[in-house]
This record gives sequence, C-alpha cells and structure tokens, in this order.
Amino acid sequence: MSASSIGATDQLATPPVGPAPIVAEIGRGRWGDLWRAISRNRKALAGALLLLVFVVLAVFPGQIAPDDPAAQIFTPALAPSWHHHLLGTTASGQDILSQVVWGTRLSLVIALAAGALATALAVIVGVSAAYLGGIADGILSVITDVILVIPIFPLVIVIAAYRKNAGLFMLVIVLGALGWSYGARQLRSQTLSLRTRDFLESARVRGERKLYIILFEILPTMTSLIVASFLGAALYAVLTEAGLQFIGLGDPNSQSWGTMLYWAQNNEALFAGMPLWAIAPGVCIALLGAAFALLNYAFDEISSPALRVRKLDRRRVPKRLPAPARPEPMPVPADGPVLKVEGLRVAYATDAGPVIAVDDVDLEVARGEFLAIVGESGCGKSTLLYAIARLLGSPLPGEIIGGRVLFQGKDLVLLEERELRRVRWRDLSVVMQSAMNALNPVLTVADQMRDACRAHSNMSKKEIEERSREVLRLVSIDPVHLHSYPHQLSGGMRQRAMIAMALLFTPDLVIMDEPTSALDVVAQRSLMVQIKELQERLGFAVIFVTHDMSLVSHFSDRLLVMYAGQVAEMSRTRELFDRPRHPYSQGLLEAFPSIRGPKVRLLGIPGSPPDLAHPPAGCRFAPRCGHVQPRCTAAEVPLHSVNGSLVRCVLVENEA
Amino acid sequence: MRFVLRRLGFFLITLWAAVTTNFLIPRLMPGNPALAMMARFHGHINPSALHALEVAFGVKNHQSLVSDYFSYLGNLFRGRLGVSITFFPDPVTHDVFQALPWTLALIGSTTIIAFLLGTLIGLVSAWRRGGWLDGVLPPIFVITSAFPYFWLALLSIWLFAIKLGWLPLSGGYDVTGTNVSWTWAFVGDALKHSVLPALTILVTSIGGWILTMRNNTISVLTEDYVRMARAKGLSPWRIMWTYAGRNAILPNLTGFAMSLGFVVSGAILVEFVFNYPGVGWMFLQSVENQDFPLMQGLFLMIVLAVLTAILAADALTAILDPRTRDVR
Amino acid sequence: MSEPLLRTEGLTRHFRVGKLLSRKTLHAVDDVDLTIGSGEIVALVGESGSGKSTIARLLALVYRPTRGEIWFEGRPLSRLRGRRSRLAYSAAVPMVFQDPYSSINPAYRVSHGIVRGMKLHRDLSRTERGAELNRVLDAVGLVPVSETRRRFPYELSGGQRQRIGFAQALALRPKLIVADEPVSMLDVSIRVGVLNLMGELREHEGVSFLYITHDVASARYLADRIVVMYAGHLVEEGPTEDVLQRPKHPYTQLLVSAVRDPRAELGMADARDVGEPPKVVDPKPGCRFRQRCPLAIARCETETPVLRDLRDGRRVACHVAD
Repeated sequence: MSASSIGATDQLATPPVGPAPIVAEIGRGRWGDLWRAISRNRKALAGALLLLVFVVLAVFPGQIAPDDPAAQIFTPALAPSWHHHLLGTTASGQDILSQVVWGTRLSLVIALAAGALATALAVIVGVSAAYLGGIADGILSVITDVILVIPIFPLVIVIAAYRKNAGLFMLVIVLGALGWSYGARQLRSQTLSLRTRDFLESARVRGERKLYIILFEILPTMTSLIVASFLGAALYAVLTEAGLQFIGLGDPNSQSWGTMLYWAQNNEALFAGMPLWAIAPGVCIALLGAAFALLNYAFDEISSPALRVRKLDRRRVPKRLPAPARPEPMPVPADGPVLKVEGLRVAYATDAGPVIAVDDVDLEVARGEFLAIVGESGCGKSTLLYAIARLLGSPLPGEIIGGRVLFQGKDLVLLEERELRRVRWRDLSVVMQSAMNALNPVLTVADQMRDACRAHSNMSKKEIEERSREVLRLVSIDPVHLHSYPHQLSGGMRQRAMIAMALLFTPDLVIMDEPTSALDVVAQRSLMVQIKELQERLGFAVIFVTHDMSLVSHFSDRLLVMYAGQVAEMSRTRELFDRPRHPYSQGLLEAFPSIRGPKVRLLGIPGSPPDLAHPPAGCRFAPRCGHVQPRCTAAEVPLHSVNGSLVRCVLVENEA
Repeated sequence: MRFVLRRLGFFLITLWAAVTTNFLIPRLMPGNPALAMMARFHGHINPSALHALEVAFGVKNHQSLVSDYFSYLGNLFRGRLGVSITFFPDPVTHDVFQALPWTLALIGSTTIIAFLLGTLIGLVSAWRRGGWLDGVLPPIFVITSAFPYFWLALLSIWLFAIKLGWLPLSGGYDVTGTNVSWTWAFVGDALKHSVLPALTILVTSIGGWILTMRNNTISVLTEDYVRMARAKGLSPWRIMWTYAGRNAILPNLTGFAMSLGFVVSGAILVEFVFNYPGVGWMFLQSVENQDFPLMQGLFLMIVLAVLTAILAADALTAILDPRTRDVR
Repeated sequence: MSEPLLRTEGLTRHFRVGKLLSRKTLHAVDDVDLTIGSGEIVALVGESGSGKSTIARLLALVYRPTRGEIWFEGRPLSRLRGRRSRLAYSAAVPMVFQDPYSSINPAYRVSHGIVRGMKLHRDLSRTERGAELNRVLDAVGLVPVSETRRRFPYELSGGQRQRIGFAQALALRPKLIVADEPVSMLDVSIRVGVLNLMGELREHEGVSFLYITHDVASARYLADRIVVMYAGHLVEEGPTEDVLQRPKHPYTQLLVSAVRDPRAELGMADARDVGEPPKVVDPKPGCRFRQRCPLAIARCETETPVLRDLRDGRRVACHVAD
C-alpha cells in the first residue's frame, strides 16, 4: 500500500531564510489547479481513464453485460448478443463476462464508501491531533499508531469469524473504522509542518475560531494529500474485500469480484480448465487497484514538485546576437587571474518556456582577490555561482548553454565529472548558505572532513585528524567539537565549521553563497572579519555572493552588481560606493538607511525585476529607471568601460 | 537510548491493545460466541479440555467481565493460551510454535529480501533519474503493488505448477514422501515448495519499497548536503550511499514498520492459497473450524511478530540517525 | 502626561523545556516594561534569543504572560473576558508577520484574509466591505486595486505580499500594529518602500507601530524611540537618535558598532567578539551579557541590573553605564 510518500516526514519544516526563491507551495488547493495538474500528468490521466471505465461499468451494467449474471445458460446458441460467453462460463453455466461487469458495482461501492469513511476519520484525527497539540495530540497519536500497527486483515478476519454473514455493510464500516490510521499519520505530519507557516498564526491572531482554522485554513491547502489518502484507502478496501470474499468470510451470495474468486477457488477452476473464471475477476481487481495506485502516485508528484522532471528544450532558447566588441578588461595583476569567466550563459526550463538566468556574464578574479557579487532575488547571482562551480542540476535548475569558465588553464564547462572531481575542493571549494542544510545530518564533522580528505589525497588517518583540528582552530572552534553531529552545534559554529572544511586544502578559490545570512548581526560581522583575515593569511581568492551590499563594503576588493541575469556594474568596491554609475547601483546604495550621517527619506527602487521568461527589449532596468531615455529600449546595451569600471548603461557612453 | 525506551513502551501498549481486543471481541459480538461455544462443548469434551478452553477465553464460572479479564491476562503471562480444538489435545502454544518456523522462513526472509532489494533498486533508480530504470520501473511497480496477493498466487500456480509443471502445487513439503527432519532431502524439498509463495510475496511487496525509496531519495537529492558532497568532489558511489542513501532510508524504515501489517495480511492469503503450513494458513484453518482458542493464539502471534519487526526497524533507525538519540 | 496607548509592566514569559519529567524553564522574556504612545513608532531591537518575537506574541495574545501585565488604553489585558472583548483587542492591535511567503494562505485570493478580518471585527455590509477592501489596498499602494484583489499570493512578489499583510491589519482599524520583522525577508531595494509605508500609515491613519527588527539602521530610519533587548531583558531605551549616537549599554555599543555603514570606517576593535546570545534556561541572577562584556565587574556576576532612569528619557539596565 505504501506507494505514497510525501516528502513531509515527522520533521518540522524550517522556514526559509533570506529572500526566498520559488519555493514549492504545499498545495494551492484550488480545484482548478488540481485539474490542470492532473491533465498534464500522464500517470494521472491513465489512472483517471481506467477509473472512468470502471465507473461506467458500475453505473450501466445492464447495458453492457450480455446476460443476467446469475442466469445459468448452458446452450450458447440461445443467446442473442455477440459478446456472449466471451470469457466462458462458470461451472454452473453463468456467463463470466456478465458477472465481471455486474461485480464492478459492488466492488466500486465498497471501495469508495470505505475509502470515504476512512479518509474522513483520517482528516479529523490527523489534523486535530496536530493542531490541538499537547495531550490531545499525544493520545490521538498513540491511538493512531496502535491501530496502524495492528494488522487489519487478521483483525477483520477475527471479527468476521465470530460473526458470520455480517454482511458487506458491516465490512465497509469496519474497514473505514480501521483503515484511517495511515492517512491520519500523514495528515498530522503535514499539518505539523504547516504550524510553522505564518498564515495559520495570522488567522489565529485575527481571532478565528479553532474549528474555522482547521476547516477553512488548513484543509484547503491539503487537498492533494487528502485525495491521495482517499485513493490509498479505497485501494486497500478493494483488496481487503476481495481477500475476505476469497477465503469465504464475506457474503458468498453477493455479486462481487471477490465472490467470483471464491467460487472459482471452490470449484477448482484452475484445474478444471476454466482458468478465466479465476483470472478475469483478478484482472479487474488488479486494474481497479492500478487505477487508484496510478492516481495516488500522480498526486505524490503533483504535491512534491521535486519529483517532476523538466527537460530544457534548447531549441527554444533565443540565440545570442553577435556580441558587441568587448571592452578593455580591467587591469589584473601580472601572474594572471585565478578564474576567468567569458560569456557564461545559463538557462533552465519552466512551464512558461526556457528562462535565461545568467546572460553573457564575464568576470575575472585575481589571485587572493575578494570579489563580491551583489544582487537581489532572481538576479541570477546564485545560479552564476553554482554554474562556475559546475554544481547546477537538481534542485537548482539550470544548464550551462554557452561560455567558458577558465580555471587553472582548463575550461571547467568542458570537463567531465571525473576530471572536475580532481579540481574540486583541492583548488576550488564551496561554502553554502545554511550549514544546517549543507552538512550531512547523519555524519559527524570529523567524518565529513575525512570524506573530503580521502577523496583528494592519500593522507593517513592521523594526518587527516590533525589537519581537521588545525582548520577548526583556524576558525576559532574548539577541536573537541570534531566528533559532534551538526545538530549539536550552534548556528554560528556550524557556519564556521563549514568554512573550516572549505579550507582543508587551502584552495586557490573559495566560493561563498551568502554564508552569513543565517546569522545575527554581530555574528555576521565577526565572521566576515574572520573570513577576511583567513583570506589575507592563506592567500585564497574569494567570490562572495550576497544580497546585502553593505555586508561586503569593507571586505571586498571589487564588487559586481547583477541585475536580471546580467552584469549591471563592476568596479572597485570603494569606487562603487563613492560613485555608483548604473542607476540600479545608485538605487541600491540609496536603499540602505545609514546609521550615522543625516537622516534622509529614502526611496528604494519602485517596481520589480523583469520576468526572465520574457525579458524586455534593450536595457532590463529601463522600466524602473529614473533616467530612462528612448535609446535605452532601442537595442541591447553593452558594457562600457569607465575609469576602470564596467557599466551597462547608455548614460556613461560619453565618459567611456 | 530514550528513543528505544519510548518505542518499547509503545510496543507494550500495542500488545496490550491487541490482547484486550482479543478478549473483548467475542464478548461484544451478539450472541456471545464465547459462552455459546462453551455451552456447545459442555459435556462433549472432558473437563480438562473444557478448562483449557475456559483459560483461553478467560471465562471462569461466569464471573464478572473484569475478573475474567484479569484471569485471562494472568493466563497469558504464564503462556497458557488454551487448547486447540482442531488439533486436540495439543495446547495452542504447541501448534503456534509448530507453524511459526515455516512462516518465519518464508515470510520473514522474503519480506526482508524484498525490503532490501526494493530499497536498493529505488535508490539506484532515483540516482539515475531519467534513465531507463527510472522511466520503466515506477509505472510497472505502481501497477503491481495493486495486485491482490492471492490472485498472483493463483496465477503463478496455474502457470508454473499446472501448465509448466516446474514447481509443486502446494504445501510446505511433499507430505507423501518425506518426513519433517533436518535432512538435505527435506530441506531441498521444502525449498522447492517455497519458491512460488516466496516469489508471489516478493513480486507484490517489492513495488511499494521501490517506490517509497525512490521518492525519498529524490527528495534527499534536492538537499543542500548532497550538493555539498558533489562540491567536495566525493565519488558518486560515496554520495549515493552515505549522503543520499543513509538519509533516504530513514523514512523508508518508518514506512517499513507501517506497511508491515499489510504485508502480513497478504502473506496469510498466500499461505492459504498454497496450503503452506505456516501461521497464516493455520490461522485461516482455525477460522474455518471455529477453533477460537487457536485463532486467538495465532492472532496474538501475528501481532507480536509485527511488533517485533517494528521494534527492530526502530532500533535500526536509532543506530542510523544520530538525531533520534538526542531527542529533546 | 496622558496614558500611553500600550504599557507593559514586568512582562515575563517562561517556557517549560526538556523532556516530560524535567523542570527546566526557558526564560524567553523577563521583566519588560514597555510603553508605546499614540501615533508613535517604537523599534524593538534585538538578535536571536532576545525575546523580541515572544513580546510580539504576548501582545498579540498568542501567549499569556507568566507574570506581569499589559495595559491597553488604560485597561489590563488579564481582565479581558469573553470573546467580544478579545476580538476588540485583536482588532485594535493586529500583527504583521515576517515571512511574506508563508503569512498568506496560498489556497485563497489575497482578498480573503482582509475580508475575513472585516467579517470578524467590523459590522459592515457586503458593499461596504468591498469599498473598504479597495481603500486599504490603495492605502498600502497595491494599485490598480481591481487587479490586485483578484490575485493569488503566488502571483505577487515578496514586497507586495507584505503590503497585503499591512492591508489586512489596516482593515481592522487598528490603533497599534505589531510588525514582527516585516522587512527582513524582503529584497533590500524593496525594504525602504515598506518602511516608508509604515511611516505613511502613521501619518495618514494615525496608527502606532511596534517595529520589531534586528536591523538597527532601519530602526533609526523609522522609529521615534528605540528599545534594545538582550537574552530576554530590556537593556536600553530612549529616543532613537540619542540611543544610537550615544549608546550607554555595552551591548548596544556592540550592536551599533556591528552595523555596516558603507560610508564609515570599519571598527576593528570589537571584531574579536565571537560570542552568541545565550539560551536562557534556568538562569542565575546577574547580568546576562557579562560573558561578552568588556566592562563587567564583580557585581555583574551576582546582581541582575534593573532598568534605571537616566536623564533625557533614557533608561539603561547596567551597573556600569552612567
């Protein structure tokens, strides 16, 4: 029965930190959305179609079946219809096909009724337990788990044994009353993860009653889960009823597929040369079950977008126009840059078509340089970062569709995974945003460091341990924590442990994706200082991605401002802060309230970033720009070099 | 080990619930089958047998329900489950333990194999998303997981035993030829008889494991720590096993525990179809013969087996997941 | 001196933590005296574990105080009996949440929450509700109104969703809006817009705000007065400009020095500090900042500092500060 497994386990979902990217919604719950989702999913369609066939059979058996299923006809010649005895007859001459058709009704009714009852109970128990919490939750959960664990089928057999011929109505009641526990558990899980969602608190604070919240705020977001639960329960009911009938504990006089199997078995159909008697109803049960299972499985996919695969259709990616002459690159130190990115383009597939998240980005990082990449949500900075590190792919969507990433004389874009592995960590390491998520929860810090060491060197166990201690000390963590698990460390410590791990081989380049955003202000500042110190001491280059410009203002050598997948401006940090040239950079700088200096009213930047599925013609910032002119939207705006900075704006053309 | 203690507590509560259910059901049914049966046998069987039946039902001289309950519990503790009517005068425990090895051998091992194999296939198929394995298997197994166990059993009998004659029809061993003993001949024969039932269970139950493991793995693969492992340049093998696999299997273990009841139900039917002399088959026989003491004893044994398996799965979870050991 | 709009006295909230049999208590908020006047914006500043979110929830009646009292318009909240009076208070003191991506129910259009609020708290006909919906959407700058009211949350940006949150609060005709980190999950360029909105609402609608944040610079931008919390205690209070330019409590000094001002020089002096705010479980008396404080003396170890009045409406809880 366990075809269903939503990602929600008993662990509470942690709320996202920082401007959230497109997060998988729990389920919008709208019937329209559900319908759309179903029609796009092949499995769901197949299952729905199959179910429809059975429903039709159940509703119009008389019209479809050739005979009265009970009628014992021994002479086929007397029958009028063409599909008479298509499947042969039973031992007493009854038409199997008719029996199968008529049997649909009962089987379907039992399945749907028991399923509905079980689902209703599951919803009531599961959601209430999670919402009420405390003792109520404790008691309900224990009851749920107990019923879940006790095998239902033997219990039903016991009940049926004591009460022969209890009838199918009783069966439905019993199945419904016992089959709710699995669904209840899942619904409870999901509701629990909802509790961290503010809209429930918002409703509560608004003064809504508990019942209202459960019925109208919680349930609508769980429609797919409830439907999946229903399908699972229905499937279970079909199989259990068939099983019961088969062993003779049901109602042998009823007209269901299970009963047919019972009589077939009793008459040794398989041996007596009437295999279809046993096979036909079984096939029907299997098909009905398959219909439920397919729909159930499809609902899993619908409610967890992660399970869906999207293929990028490269043909639909707009071709790049021949690039305007590249401007004179910025001066870099004599021994060459450690990283050089040329014309990098990254695209990913969405329902609306391909989106180019990174559009023709060039950048260079010198040895020991600290380059900050700044931008807001959707600008492509994280995509750029992970493209450079060749870490795109699930869950970060995207493929590199053009450009080069030159590192140590090789183009990383062209390298195979095996060759890339040689470069990874030794020369290029990564620090991610949330250490809680980036560290494997089931391994100790020591284990994870050892993994990295073993993958790239022949260090002995002792050497590895010594090195691990050394890097922990570098970031001011007491090495005693080496044998802790990630969840045992505090937030700040975890983050520093990640940085320590990145420095195991003192790489040439460390890429950092917002490593401080999960920390408090004071901790952020001390971590930044620490990173800068380490950088100066060990001499590695850093690419630091952040949405907060002021964070890197005292630490970065150069700053790259990204907007809508393109480089908007790139210059020395001090230069950018003193004299921002691109209107977007100006707007950004002005969006930071200052702590000293005069208090002025700030304006921020009106509007929102463009939809990258349909980027505007010409300058992408034009719709929001206070200095927009007609030539801004006439053609693509190239990067202009001004005074050592690169600016993608028509306004600096004169200066360039 | 607070976690394991808590699970142990749950084990005991569930056991108590099952036992009490066993006690209450016959008394709650209209016509009070317990008393009816007592009355039926009164005078037809000797007093010690009758006493044994009373023990099984906790019916002692028509005392109050509560005292009956406690004497029932008391007897249970002492392992006195009564006497079987079908296999008279064997005590129920004797019959139960006679059937148990067959079931453990067949269902126990098949379930474990199905779980391990299914988990492995699910892991690999999710790892190679978009590959042929992933495209072909899930839809197939979605459908096979909906098959009724017993129907597949019938089908396999018809195909392999009747039509092709490769494997024996039914039973745990050839009752005409060999005796139950630890000889090679016997073991070989028993194995031959267990192939079809084992295959039936395997084919039907593996689908569920494959699918859940696949879905779990896919979720886990979207986690940051997997990307981090790639960034560290670890070998794909290591990532798949230690980073993806070890995390994805945790909810699967929970799932194993939860669907065990379902697997057991199917196994009962399979034994029935094959006349395989295990607990399930005996259970159904006892139902047919209205041998209530045996039936109850077997029911308890089934529940106990499921609970033990769950406890084992929980212990495994505690070993694999360090977070459970620090439950706040 | 008129009665302030909202006043708390000795506000305390403890949570029981640990397993079933343990008697450990987490002191989330201890002994907080807070005042908010009519038409005033007060910033409550603190890091994680400071208790600021708990204060928000205490004011929103999500939690009941373990000790202490909250007075609203001169009436104590503990005396609030019956659903009616609680609803009346909820309408007067609504809350805006931090996460725009989870604070609106994804299953309904954005007008849902606003209309529900009106149904619960105000006596309006259907047409009147429609008109009011338009009015509040307009007041928060979500125009064109006819377009916005039909949207689903996933069609709006983070900043827009946050404005919906304010619209929901506005629809109740509030006197004080408790805003729990309303901009920390928004893009930088959007934050200012929402901060400005809060200022405007104070001007045009006369609403007071309790602006809860960890971002000192935005507190300076928006608030009249600032209150600083650390590990459940209120450590400093006063007019915003005064406190930030001349912080008296060592923690405030640390906080202010950690604020990034691109135009200023980096203060390296306090960069050594690698401490984090403590989790306050069963604390002993004494100042909770003493481990990290450069000015700590013996008395700080044993005696919990009490908030004392200084000149110019400043209050500090420190043995050493003058």
